[in-house]
Amino acid sequence: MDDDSVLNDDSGSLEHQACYIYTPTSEALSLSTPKKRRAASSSRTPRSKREKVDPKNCETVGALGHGFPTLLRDLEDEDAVNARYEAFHRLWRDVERRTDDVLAQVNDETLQSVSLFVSKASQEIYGEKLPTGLILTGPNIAAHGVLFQQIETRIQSVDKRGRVAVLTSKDSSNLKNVLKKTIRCITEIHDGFEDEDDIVEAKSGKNPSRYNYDPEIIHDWCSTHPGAKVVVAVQDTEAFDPAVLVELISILHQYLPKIPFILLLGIATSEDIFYEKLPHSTIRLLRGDRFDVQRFEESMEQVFEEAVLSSQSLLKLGPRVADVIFERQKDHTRSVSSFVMALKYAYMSHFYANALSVVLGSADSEESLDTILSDTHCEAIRNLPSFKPFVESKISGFPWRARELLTSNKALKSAVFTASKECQRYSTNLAEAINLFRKLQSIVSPQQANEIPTYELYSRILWGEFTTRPAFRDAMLTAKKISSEKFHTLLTTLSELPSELSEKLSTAAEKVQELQSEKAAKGSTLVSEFVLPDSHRTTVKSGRVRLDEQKSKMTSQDTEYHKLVNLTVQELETYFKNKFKPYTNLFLHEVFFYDLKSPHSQVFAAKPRPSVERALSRPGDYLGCECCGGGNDDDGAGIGGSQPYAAILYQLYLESPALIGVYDLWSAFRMVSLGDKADQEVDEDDEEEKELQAQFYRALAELRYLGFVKYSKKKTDHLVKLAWKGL
Amino acid sequence: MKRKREDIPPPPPPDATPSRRSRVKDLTADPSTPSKNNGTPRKAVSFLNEPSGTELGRSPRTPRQKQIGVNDDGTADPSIVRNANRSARRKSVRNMIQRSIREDLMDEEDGFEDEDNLAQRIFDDEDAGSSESESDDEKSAAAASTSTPAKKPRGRQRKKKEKSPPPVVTIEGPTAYFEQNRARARPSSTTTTLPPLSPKTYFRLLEQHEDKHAGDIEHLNSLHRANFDQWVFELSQGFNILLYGYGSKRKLLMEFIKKEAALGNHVVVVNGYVGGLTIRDIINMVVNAVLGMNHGVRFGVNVNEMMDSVLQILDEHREKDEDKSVTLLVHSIDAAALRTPQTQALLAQLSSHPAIRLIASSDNILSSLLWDSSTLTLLNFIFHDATTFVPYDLEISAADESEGIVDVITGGTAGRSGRSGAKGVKYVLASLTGNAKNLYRILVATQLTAMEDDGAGKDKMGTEAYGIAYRTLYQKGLEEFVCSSDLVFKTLLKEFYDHQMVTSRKDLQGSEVLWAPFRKEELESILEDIMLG
Repeated sequence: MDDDSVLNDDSGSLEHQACYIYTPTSEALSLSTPKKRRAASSSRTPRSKREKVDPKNCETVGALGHGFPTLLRDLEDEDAVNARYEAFHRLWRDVERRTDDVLAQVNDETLQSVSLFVSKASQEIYGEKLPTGLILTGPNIAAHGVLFQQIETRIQSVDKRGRVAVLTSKDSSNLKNVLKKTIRCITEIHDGFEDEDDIVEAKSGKNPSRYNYDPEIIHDWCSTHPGAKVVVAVQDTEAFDPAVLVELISILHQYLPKIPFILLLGIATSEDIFYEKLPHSTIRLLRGDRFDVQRFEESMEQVFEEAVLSSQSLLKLGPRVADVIFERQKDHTRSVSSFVMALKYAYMSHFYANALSVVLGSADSEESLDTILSDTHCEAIRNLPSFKPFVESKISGFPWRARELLTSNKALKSAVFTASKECQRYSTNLAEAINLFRKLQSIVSPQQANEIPTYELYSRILWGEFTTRPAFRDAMLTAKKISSEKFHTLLTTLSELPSELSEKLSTAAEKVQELQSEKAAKGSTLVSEFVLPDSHRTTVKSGRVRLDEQKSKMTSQDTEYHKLVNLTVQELETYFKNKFKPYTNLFLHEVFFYDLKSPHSQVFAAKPRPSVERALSRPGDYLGCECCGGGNDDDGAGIGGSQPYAAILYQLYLESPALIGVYDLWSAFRMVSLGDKADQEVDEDDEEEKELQAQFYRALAELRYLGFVKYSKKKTDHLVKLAWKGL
Repeated sequence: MKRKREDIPPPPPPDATPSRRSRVKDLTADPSTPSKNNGTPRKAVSFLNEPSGTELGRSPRTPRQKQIGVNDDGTADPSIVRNANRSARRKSVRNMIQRSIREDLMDEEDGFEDEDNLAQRIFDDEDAGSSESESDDEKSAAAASTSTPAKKPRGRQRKKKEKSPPPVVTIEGPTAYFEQNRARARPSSTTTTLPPLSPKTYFRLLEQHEDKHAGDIEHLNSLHRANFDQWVFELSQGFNILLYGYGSKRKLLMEFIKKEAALGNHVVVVNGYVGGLTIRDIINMVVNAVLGMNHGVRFGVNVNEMMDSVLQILDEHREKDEDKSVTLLVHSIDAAALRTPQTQALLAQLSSHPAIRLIASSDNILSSLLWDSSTLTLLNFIFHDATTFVPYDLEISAADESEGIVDVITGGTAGRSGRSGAKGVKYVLASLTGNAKNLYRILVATQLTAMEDDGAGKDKMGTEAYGIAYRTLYQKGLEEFVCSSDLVFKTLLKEFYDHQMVTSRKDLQGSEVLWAPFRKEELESILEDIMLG
């Protein structure tokens, strides 16, 4: 297979070839063999930290083969590395499966209604109009492809209502292409070479030959598939060439008596914009329905609950990384799939870089924990920040226990097991409490609940500061003030959720019910003191009188109810305060919560320009050399002649005006690079001078290649400045 | 602002050349040239002790010192000297007078002041100033030797000046933008050109050069290499990798790819910087990697359809052998050849297939603008800052031969007239068909005849006046059987336009006039070349 690419890249002959198949050199191949042997042999000598990530020990299959490094200063044994690798796969696969399930359901409702629409569409209902479904897909264009694929499989394979041709704006170059693609999708004729306007051979004698863009082909197809609908779906209507779309619609309309066409249009913006785009005469040909796709926030919330909050997910996101991820979601991507990817990356980097993540792999069995945790692991655990407060907490009560933790690995391992149970309990409780709170909020102040999705509360809750937030206090205060019927529904719904409060809540609900019916017998409703308007309670004398009046009107049931409300809300509040404790209090939270901000914030957002600018204006930052440190220049503001040539040129470039003369740049460059020598008499043929000149040319070409300058058309030998630093 | 600017610095028309030339001649012949060198230090001193520099400073210089743009002024000085020079001393006197009359009408423009200044300077010491005249191409050697020492004080001055007002360098961002974009009443430079350097010497010198930072760069790269394992893991988990940052990442990636190849993956290397690369090549190569060289699968003409079938092939491949995938290594994914949205969309589609792992490098500072959100989702990139500080040798030389580094190297000749220059024309012509060559010959010959008739010097640029009418050229082409129809003729011309070998303009009657924008001498050598070839 590789017979034409035997040349190895190092020989240099392939550098100018546009693309080729890489063949590893014999040297590279031979290098990999001894490595395998080494990795397989269990005798490992401790190596320096540097060597730890040395690529050499990673050529074997399995964990090491996938680049998993040996951590803990290379003291981690192979089993532990493999265990980490397996734990990652097991846990992530589980999360992935669950999120996939959620995502599959996300569009289910829409799919169902679209499918129903397709099955119902017939000439009896729509007459001469073309049945059209407008699918309002929302702005996240990345998800549209998936949605239309789902529609296609749903209609075509699951519900078997007919065939679907999905068109995208890429196909909209001209009508012929659109028709060709439609026909190909519907009739499934793959004849390979459709570049020419082939004439499709008549398969049976009765049909005459046709061009391959003739809709009559579909008609022929329909005659062999009675009852099947023909759905033409346009994925991105906005980007589709309007002229072609108009023509397409008119053709579909004309063939409507012969072929049961149905049109689906995906609209990312709004119906109004769509209507503006097409002429009225075309719109008049259409009739149909619109379908809304689930909002991003809702699907996001579902995925979040399933993937992060659910007690099945062992590894949780820490508040810092959660903030990074959700901010990116909110401000930039707004796509569920990118959230899943970010989550995956969190799993990846946790298991890749944290040696103790091996605990997660065997969190449920004390035995396997006991075997997998080596002495090095124990030492590492004792070095965790959360270990210190944990031991200190023991000192006062059980000093012997504290000593044991420090000295005995066995004791530590059992503590790890308890801690892992503790962490899991914390997470379960947290999920419960968050659920409960959301429910409460949605009843008490539905608007606020809609505005702030759960995942935005998440990081606050983990920090343990949520109970001091206005959102929390608001919810609690309003809970006191709602009407008695509402309060009753609140109690009943909350009691239905699994939590330690559910019993208490249900008894309270019963009591409210009781009081309510008693009160109802008297022809009035229950009121608590909290419901009384504030002004009545706080104003001066005259007000006080009225307040007293109102108070006096309260019956014994009311007073009892008031007490009940007060008590329940207080109980709820303490419950939340108990559950919303900072996660950092937990021993081993470093293992069960992934909270590193840096890889996520860097890896998902490229900063090419700042990084290039920094490299060129402060090369010392990257090179770490003595000579180019930004601050140690003698005059502070000057450009060090010792810096790389491109950096010198870039800094001169920064100072220049919008139009730069090449010669000026050169003389300044020469001045800076040569320093004092520049004053000497110039010899044209001086090798040094020439060499500097060559460097100048290269640096200039690099700046141009990076996109900082281009040649000016206005003046010869001038450059136009294209980028201002920091702008 | 702009209008004001236009009427002030009179950019000398090219017909001033004869006089310029004669001056240069005088200059080189002038036995008193060394005196310039004596003059230079004097100037440098005066620049240093500016407040006391009565001899040239005069009053208007002093306020300007406070301006932020001091430095720029520094760069500009010689240019203005040149300008003033060019239009002779008399002109500078006139300018000074005009300026002083206008001064009260307009606000203090440092640019004007500058020119004013310089005019005054020239007025003051004419001899020293005249040394900084620009060179013509054939004289470039001589000119360079004369003008380079003259530049010295300026460079020096820059360095010294940096010391005194530190804010010069610190202006950044918006402030710098507005400051540097202000319309000034002066061009930034002379037309002095760089001394030429042949490509051969250039590459030889670069090869010879020992980088003072070689050790640091090697260390930096070793840090990146330490991440290879992580990259392998990321790729194996369905992410694609994009490297960014200053420096060529070619070598780094080629080293990395050894690891991927060692895992048993097929590796397809794409050199994005190579011109003429198409997405079709990439797709074909991916199929070759999967199915072997002689797979016999043929694809349709439409790229989208091609992609569909490739994805199908990959699906089948994946079913057969789950662990093996194709690693696609793209050097400079933001290079010109891959820059179209369609190419990127197809690349994204390809990379989103589970059997494809994409690792790419990007260099342009605006590379992020290549992708919209849907392509970005498909690409599923993990970004890594891989600043290597390795010079971009291959990338820049291969970037685009017509106006790449070779252009800068040939210095004057190329920059002077359009992009490609006479030398470039010869290269282009060598690759064209006989008919195209003949057509160009007709054009050049006609233009030369016109120039000869006019008695133009050999430095005279080809301009509209010497051009040939579109119809005439077509007729001539027909007569010589160069072209058979208007369409063929246009196709031939298009090639010339693309390489800026021909310029055209509609004249007053509305008929199109074509001419080759080169100097007479260059035209002669081109014609000679065509005749001989």
